Amino acid sequence: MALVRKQPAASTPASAAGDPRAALEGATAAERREGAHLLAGDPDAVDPLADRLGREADKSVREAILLALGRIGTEAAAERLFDLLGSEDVWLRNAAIETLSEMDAAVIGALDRALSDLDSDRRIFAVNILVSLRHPAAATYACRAVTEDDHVNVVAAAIDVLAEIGTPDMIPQIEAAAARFPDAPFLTYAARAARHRIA
Amino acid sequence: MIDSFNPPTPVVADSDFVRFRDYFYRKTGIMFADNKRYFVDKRLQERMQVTGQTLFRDYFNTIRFQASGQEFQALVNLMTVNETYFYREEYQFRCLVQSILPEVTRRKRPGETVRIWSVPCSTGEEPYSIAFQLLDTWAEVDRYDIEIVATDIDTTVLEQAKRGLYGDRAVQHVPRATLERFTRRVGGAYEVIPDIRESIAFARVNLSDSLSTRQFRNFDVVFCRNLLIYFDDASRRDAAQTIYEALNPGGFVCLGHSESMSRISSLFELRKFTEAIVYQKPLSAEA
Repeated sequence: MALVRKQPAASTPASAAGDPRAALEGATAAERREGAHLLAGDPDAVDPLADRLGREADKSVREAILLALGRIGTEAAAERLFDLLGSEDVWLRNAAIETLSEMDAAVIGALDRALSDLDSDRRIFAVNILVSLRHPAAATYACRAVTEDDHVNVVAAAIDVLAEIGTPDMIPQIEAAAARFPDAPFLTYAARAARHRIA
Repeated sequence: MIDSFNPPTPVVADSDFVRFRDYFYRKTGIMFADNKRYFVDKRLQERMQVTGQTLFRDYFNTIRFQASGQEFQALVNLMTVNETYFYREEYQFRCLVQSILPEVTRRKRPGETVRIWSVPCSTGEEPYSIAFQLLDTWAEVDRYDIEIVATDIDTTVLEQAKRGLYGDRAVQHVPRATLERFTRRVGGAYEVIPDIRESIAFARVNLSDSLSTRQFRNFDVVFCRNLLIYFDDASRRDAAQTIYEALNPGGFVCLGHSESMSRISSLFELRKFTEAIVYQKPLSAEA
């Protein structure tokens, strides 16, 4: 019989016994991943993790750091992730969006700044995150963007979000937003579709 | 007259079904076709009654916004059929023998160990199927030591797995000769022979707990089938990291047929073999 049995033996990676912050700056990807895993529960580790993410080239370490920031799940972690929405690195930007989409309350806390960003593309990314959040205030923030944002594409994104998570009392704001942009007939269509879904 | 002991069945309107279906797909990747309407409605109504909600809109808000995600998880459990049996998705076991192991052993010397992890192993059908398939069909089986580690979060199912006792339904897809070779009749049941039962290392592990998975390293193949569909996105990414750490460079992971690692993590490479699609930790990756 070629089958052999060995119970998995407890093993501790070398870096686990040391300083996880040092491991995060370690020479090998395995060490840096280990550092990220160990820092995943430490709210004070947001800055070292985010700083490392900015310099990190190895994809497996980047994923580990993003997971750690998501697990920490504080407003500070969300703010550092929102900073990445302007990254030229498409993978990093999308990964940040995915992570933020799971962070719920922490994202809500950081949204004021994100929705006031001067870059309309960043505001669109921020609005799109709202659709995935498990938080009752998500629709309110989307409604705020519909009412206050002066960029037609941000408003369109926010109307799409409200079509998913909005409530009937938000229909007047959606229709008013469409009226604010008479030169964008697609907004009228989007508003009609949203009203049909949430009425 | 309203019967207070039998409250009316909550109504799921056409538009409710569509909204729910879209949401459930976004969250789980599972899409219900129109012909599943009855199946979905029945389960939604059951959970609405259990949670005391009469309006779909209220229940939908609960599954979307509940901080713990508990109700959504309960619904996922109900919407997915958690059935296991020997040789389930048998093409993956053929893939193991015909395509995966030849690649794995190309990097090993005879006498070295091939390590396989079955997670979650539930009541043992999967790890025993792997053992049966290797002993039955892999010509190289005696040239290598083979370690099969089988883990689950549930200690009750692990005890059943160790016992190795199964009814007709569980073994219905096992070839007759294989059944006769590797099991014996005990009453009306089939018992896996001790040589095989004792060669598989069963252990409890929570895949979402990085401390408890730290001891699982240096595997060549991981079978992680029909588990990730129960997780939320962050937990799936966590699990993908755990599997990545557990595998040797060039190691393989087999998921359930409705699961896709590409939607979870970019760490793995897609490998399309004749028998099945699986995922591989890049050979260039650090161990």
